[in-house]
Amino acid sequence: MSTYAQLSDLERLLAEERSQFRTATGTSLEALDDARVEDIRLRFSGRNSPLQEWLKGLRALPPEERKGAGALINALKNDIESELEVFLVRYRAYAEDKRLAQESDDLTLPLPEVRFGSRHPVAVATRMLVEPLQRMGFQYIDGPEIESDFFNFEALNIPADHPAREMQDTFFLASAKGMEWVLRTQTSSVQAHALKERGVPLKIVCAGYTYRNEYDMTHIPTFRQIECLVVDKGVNLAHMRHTLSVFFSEVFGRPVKLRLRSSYFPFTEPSAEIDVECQQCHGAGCRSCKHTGWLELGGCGLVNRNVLLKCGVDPDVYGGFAFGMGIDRIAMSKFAVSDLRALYEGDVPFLKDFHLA
Amino acid sequence: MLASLKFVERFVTLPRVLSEARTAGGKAFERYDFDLGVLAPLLTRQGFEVESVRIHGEPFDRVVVGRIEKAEPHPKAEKLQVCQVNVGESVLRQIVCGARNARVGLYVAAALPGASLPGGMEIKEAKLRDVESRGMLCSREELGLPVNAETDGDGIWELHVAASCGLPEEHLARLVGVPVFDALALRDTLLELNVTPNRPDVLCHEGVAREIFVGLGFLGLPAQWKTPSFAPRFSASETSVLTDACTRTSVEVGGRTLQATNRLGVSAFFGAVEGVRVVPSPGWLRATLEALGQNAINNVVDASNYVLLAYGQPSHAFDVAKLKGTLTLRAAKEGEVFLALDGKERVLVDTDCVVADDASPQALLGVIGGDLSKVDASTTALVLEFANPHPVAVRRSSRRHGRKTDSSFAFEKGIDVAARFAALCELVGLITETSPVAPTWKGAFGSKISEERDPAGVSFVDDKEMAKTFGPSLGAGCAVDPSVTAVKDCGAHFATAGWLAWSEARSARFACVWNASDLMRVAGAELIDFDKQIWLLGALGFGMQAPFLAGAVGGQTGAGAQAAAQSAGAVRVSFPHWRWHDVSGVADLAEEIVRVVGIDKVPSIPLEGATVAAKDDGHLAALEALAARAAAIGYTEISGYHFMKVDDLERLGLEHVCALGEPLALMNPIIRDQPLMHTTLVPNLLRCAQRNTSFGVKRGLLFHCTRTYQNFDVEGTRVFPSNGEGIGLEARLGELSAAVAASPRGLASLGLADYAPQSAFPYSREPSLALRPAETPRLAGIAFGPREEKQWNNAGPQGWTLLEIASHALECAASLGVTLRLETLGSSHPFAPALHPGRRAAILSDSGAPVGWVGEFHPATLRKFEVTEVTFGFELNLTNLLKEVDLVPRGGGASVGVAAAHEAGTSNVSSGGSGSATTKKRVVAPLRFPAVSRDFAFLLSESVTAGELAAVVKESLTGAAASGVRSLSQVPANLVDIRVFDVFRGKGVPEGHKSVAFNVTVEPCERTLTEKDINWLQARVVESVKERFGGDLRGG
Repeated sequence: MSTYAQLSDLERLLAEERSQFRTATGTSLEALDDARVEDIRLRFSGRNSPLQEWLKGLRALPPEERKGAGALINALKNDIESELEVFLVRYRAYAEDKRLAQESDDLTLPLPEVRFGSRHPVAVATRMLVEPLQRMGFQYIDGPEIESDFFNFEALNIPADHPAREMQDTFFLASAKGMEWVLRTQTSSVQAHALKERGVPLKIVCAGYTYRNEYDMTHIPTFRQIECLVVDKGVNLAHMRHTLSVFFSEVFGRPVKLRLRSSYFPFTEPSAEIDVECQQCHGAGCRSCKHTGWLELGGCGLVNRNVLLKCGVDPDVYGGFAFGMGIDRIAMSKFAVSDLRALYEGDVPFLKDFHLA
Repeated sequence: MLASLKFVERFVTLPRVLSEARTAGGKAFERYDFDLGVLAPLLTRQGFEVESVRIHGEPFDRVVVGRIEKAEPHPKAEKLQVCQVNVGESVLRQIVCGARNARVGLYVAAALPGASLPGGMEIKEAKLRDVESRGMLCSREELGLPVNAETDGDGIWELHVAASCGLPEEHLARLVGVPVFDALALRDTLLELNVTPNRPDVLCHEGVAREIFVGLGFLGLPAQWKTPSFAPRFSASETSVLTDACTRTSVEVGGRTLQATNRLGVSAFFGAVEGVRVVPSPGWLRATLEALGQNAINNVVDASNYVLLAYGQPSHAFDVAKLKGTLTLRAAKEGEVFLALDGKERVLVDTDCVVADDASPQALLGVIGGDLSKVDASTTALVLEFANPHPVAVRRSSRRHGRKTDSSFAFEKGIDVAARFAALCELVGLITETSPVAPTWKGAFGSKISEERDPAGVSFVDDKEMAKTFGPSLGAGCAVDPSVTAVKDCGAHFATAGWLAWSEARSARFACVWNASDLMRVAGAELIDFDKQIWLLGALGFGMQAPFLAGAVGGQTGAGAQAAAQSAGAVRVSFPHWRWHDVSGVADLAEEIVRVVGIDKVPSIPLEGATVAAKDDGHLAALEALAARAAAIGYTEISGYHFMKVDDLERLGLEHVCALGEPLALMNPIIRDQPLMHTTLVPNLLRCAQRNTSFGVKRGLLFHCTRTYQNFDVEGTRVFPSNGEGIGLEARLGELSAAVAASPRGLASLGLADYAPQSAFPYSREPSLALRPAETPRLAGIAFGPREEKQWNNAGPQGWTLLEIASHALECAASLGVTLRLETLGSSHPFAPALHPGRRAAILSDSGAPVGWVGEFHPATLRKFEVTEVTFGFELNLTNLLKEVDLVPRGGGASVGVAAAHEAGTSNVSSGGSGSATTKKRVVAPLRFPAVSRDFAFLLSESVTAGELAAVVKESLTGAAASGVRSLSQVPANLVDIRVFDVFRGKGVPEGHKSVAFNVTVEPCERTLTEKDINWLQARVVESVKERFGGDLRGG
């Protein structure tokens, strides 16, 4: 290491040091790496850097020159330290950019999945139907699936050998004490329970499994229905119609056209089929509505007075209406599922597609 | 119901519209079809949905009337003729024809090029053996029409033959070039109507016509009712037939005395006719039947079919000469052979009802006649049977023998018994009309009720019940109607006479008063004026009287009554006999009016009173919360049919089919090998896993949340003693079920074990749930295959562990705010054999109630279900879980305090479905000082469990092992967690030992902890572990 004996030497050395520093830090950043930058820092501002040595060497100068010389060294030291700070920031930014530039990920690799499960589409559809009804004041209730002849048929105005029993193929269980027991063929049995066990006035919705002895592309033995019942004084068809239009408008999220068509169910009189304007073609006619412009969604009617009588309600004081529909079909049309049975095979990728809803 | 509008037009005028106008054969051709634009919506609106429309004859537009002007032999083919045919064109058309009856002057059906015939034949200009042929002369068969060899021959259709639906030649001459179906007036419109089961009266053409008549009248369109009756051709009157049937027991016919005995107790009478000439039916009758897809046989059989199609009145004609001895209505003998009209031999059983002569059955009652006594060309004397068999008997015989006829269909749906005598008059009238010589009426006679009664036909329900339901269609019903007992006592003619009195009593009873305000009450609007309402009911056949008018004693009828009714605002309405099946009061009349006006015309009026948003019954919200949580933590919800196979539980490795409680058996399962209602959700889940793995989906989490069922009620009483009957499982289920109850491991002896029927859910609020089969809601989940597959961002596939799956089950319960815990699952648990013996656990509530299990499935179980991947599962009994949040009363089972539970349920759970009932977990406060965390590792003996270690550490810090205590004894801090994070065996660890590393986290509650505090904490942990387990600190 060079040293000095007189002020002029020091001045020369300092000038030389300044120029060396400028050269070292003025080179292109590309030529540097972390080790070389550390070398530069140590060389110009480390404990053993020439500036430190020269500070120590001040003692060798005559006392009257020391102060001036010390100021000169310190001036350069300050310059180097502040410039070095700038240089290091610049270098670190450069080095980080260079590192990040090399770290780009392959966007086309398979996405790691977020491990949610999914609700069953029919459960989703059930919720979609029940919620507007709850807002409209219908209490969501439940009932048994294994039913006696009384609740499934008798109380619903379907006496033994009535032609209406032909409409539904029933699963029979063994009989006990002269009563036939069946798997309920419609959720209407819950109406009978509610009328007998909860009393009137009544405003309920029930959804659940029902069973019929049929199995093909469009029929499965175990399916779900939803059904509503209102019983109060002075209830009539006009009230039913209003309730239906509010309900379907809520379900489809906008006002929908509704059509009632006379039909027959043993538990209601008069009875009607509920048609809703096809949501695919808006009435123009398409494949999903078989070119009729309408989708048959369910049945409705005024509660048959025999049902009220059987359930201990005075039909001369109280009246009511009921409506119901199959949920599986609504789920099929909402989720564009063509084979009903696909909903029951438990295929993971298929079911997962329905998400948490 | 297939309705021919041409047939309907016999009863009522129908609107027609010009559907086509063009030039055909050089002449203007106009075609008027029935106006479906009016008729179809009308029928649909009134409740008879038009399911399809078909035009009879439409495909044959290019098959026209032609006349053969010239016929020469084909130069090269002996059997062919070259015909020059006039089809109304300017030149004759050359057509080569192979039929022998092709001859000059014959009017024929000529198919022109472009026509397409049934069977897909396309007519083109072609060369036949080098001779050009520009069309084809058709036979009836080639046009899809039935052929009767006797009248039609075997060649081409000769259009001038009346019995082949033809026309006289002078008419045909004007129709050359006109499409054949139009020329012969065969074109028809056929509607397939959906007739609801309450309206059997619309299963005939008169019924359809009546609906159309009312509909057109209501719309203000012209409609004229016609009475196309043949009864005037008949010498006797309805009254005399009725009287005969009630008073006579035999008749002289065909040179002998014919009698009938009735051992069935169904009402039945007969008519006898002599001097009949059996010939082919006239063209109009044949065409009517053929349009509806039926074959014409002869004038007698066709007349019977016509009366059925027109009025819905089935009957059967026997050839008297072919009957031996007395006619008997009786039950068939087991194994008796019956040769039916369709030529098939059927072996009968003793619940079939037949009409037999002394030798053998001659008809399967209500279903089909016999071949031995059928009416054919040789017949001269007839006996016409009008019986009213029981609908169910007919339905069962018809199904049993695989033969559904128009007659059996009519009986099944219910016939109008009041019109039986009128129907006989129509039938004889039509036979008279179609016979070359008028036959002689020999009178009607009733069937003699035998003292002996065969049980057949009435073995299903008791007589009383049947009579209530079907009334007059069952003669035996008379016995319950007091007004009829007298008739019964008078003996011999019970069946018919009793029926008559019954129907009279009924007609008096079938009436009600209709008020002007009634429609308002039902529909919320008047819809139409009162006088229009009355008109409408009248047009449907209802009778009107105005009984409340001063001076109108006895009631007025007709127009006078109508006027009077209008001013009174009320009218007495009697129901027509064809509506006795379904009309019983004011509500039915309102329905009639609403139906014809259109229920769609009802206005929309909001319900009165404020609407308050309602909520779920408590348990429904809880189930929703559970399922939502299961889905949120990664499980996919499946749905199933709730059935199981007889050997499903054995396949799981369980002892037998009743190991989880006795399953309910279906008497008529639809999926043959799944006749039982499931008692666990696991087999179906494993099948789903199997399906997924076999389709290449090698990992997944599935859950199912639904009910399971048992043949026990909630008190543990067996419900159906004959469970399994009809499918041959009765003995086996009974035996095994009893064995379970008796064994010390029995479900009942487990008290509230998760598969005991005592944990059924009270779905019904009946006062007692005794003898109601148990329905228990369950949540089951399975995890098949690895947790992670090998992917670019991991080191390789990783399997699930028992504790991970257990935490899933516990996390589901946490959605209700319930904390559950794990315990060893003993081998006495009914599900234990299905699980890995070292990787299974019982899930219990805090109070120790069994809620379910979790475990890895035993490899043997997985092999039986053909699941190739390692699979874990859990199943929770949700009733026991709901008890923890007071949605079901605890202890004593569901039968106690059902109502109280429901009250609690509805008030405790919010409608949001979050299931936040009685939350037990304290809410953690946000940290105010930095938490302190220290790791320790000890060398411990293998026998020390993580749970024991944690308890000791906890006690050392808090001074108590109780679960609720959190505050540290010496330092102002709370214990947050003691968590084992590593268990190591192997290098550096002596045999029989393990290195257990754990972490202790505390949360200061007053100030930041000092060095001294932390030293105390470390020292306490190290000392206590050393003291208690002799464990050496390895680091920390």
